[in-house]
Amino acid sequence: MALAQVAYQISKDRDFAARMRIDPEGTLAEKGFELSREELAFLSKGLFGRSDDQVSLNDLVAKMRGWR
Amino acid sequence: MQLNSVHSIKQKIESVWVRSDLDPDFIEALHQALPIFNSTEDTYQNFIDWMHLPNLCCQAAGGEPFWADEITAAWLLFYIGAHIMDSIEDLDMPDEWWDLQGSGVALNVASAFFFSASTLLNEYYQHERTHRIANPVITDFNIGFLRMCQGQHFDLVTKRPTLQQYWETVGAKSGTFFSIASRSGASLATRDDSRIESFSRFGYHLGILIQMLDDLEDLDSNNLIGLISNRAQVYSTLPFVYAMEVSDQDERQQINSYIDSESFDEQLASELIRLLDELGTGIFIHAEMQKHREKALEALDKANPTNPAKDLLTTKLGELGKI
Repeated sequence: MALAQVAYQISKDRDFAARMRIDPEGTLAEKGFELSREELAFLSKGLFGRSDDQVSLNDLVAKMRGWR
Repeated sequence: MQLNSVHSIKQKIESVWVRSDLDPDFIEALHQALPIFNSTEDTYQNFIDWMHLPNLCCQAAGGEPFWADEITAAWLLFYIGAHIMDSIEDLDMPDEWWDLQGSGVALNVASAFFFSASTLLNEYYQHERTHRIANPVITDFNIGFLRMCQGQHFDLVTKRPTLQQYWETVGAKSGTFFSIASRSGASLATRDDSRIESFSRFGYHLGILIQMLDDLEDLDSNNLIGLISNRAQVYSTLPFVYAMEVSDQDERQQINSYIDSESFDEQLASELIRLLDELGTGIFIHAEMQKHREKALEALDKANPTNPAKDLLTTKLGELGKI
């Protein structure tokens, strides 16, 4: 469940989040987190692929409203 | 999928009920519970597209979509029947059609859907083209549903699931359900086991993705107020499973205090969402949605699908979980 721990850490620790943007692999190793490249890529899409801040729960809920 | 296909699915279902000499009043009760009989098409277009998953996978595997009409009709009936039972077991708000008449009536309708679905699948024994797959498809449905019941059992008895338990349950329920639809549809058109397995994995990840969307829907403010009123259910939805697993004791207490509030309203709903977001819930769910969407696309690609179903499945899947 490393992905969950990393998502939590990003949201609670601004310094960790900032370093994740510059050197994700080094930052994860420093904290002892092990993410696969695949997981890191999925995480990055919500963090670094956007011009605004990190993806928010409200964004997700609004976007998925009425998907059915 | 074209609307004439919806018409064909309706006819297949209706024919079972007419051949069974059911009373028109009971048939009317069954209609009430099935969205395709009582809604306008444009209000549930996404539902119609995904309802045709067996048709689409059959076509993507090189067959004609209509070959899978019986499977689609049966899968729809199982889906709605399971949804009814799930709502009753989870003490959800009743759907409009059974609100007045009670859960006993709803359970009986669900049972009727299961037997109707079973009858539809048995029709594959009657035709030369489908005779060879009748037994494996029916066995696959039965074993799959047994596993779903097992998943539901653990879901019901595990009051505060861990993330690992959540993924196991969702895989056993939603993942299994959509993988059955995909591989059974494909198996009508190909005997290539590796392609069928790829369709199966595609459906599995699609099912998990759809369950995540369902869990996200629960966070819409009105839905969240309803969800909080059913405390037993709150802790089984992904945002809360995640938050309770990663947060510290103070944060967990804060979440619990919202859930235990006697007057949970829109204001508190908004505050609770903000709290969940501060714990990284949005980041986590988004990453998981990307993962299952990509894995579904990868599996679909390996299934070597043909057009036009390939494009439709890829496009519809791309729309899910994209932000």
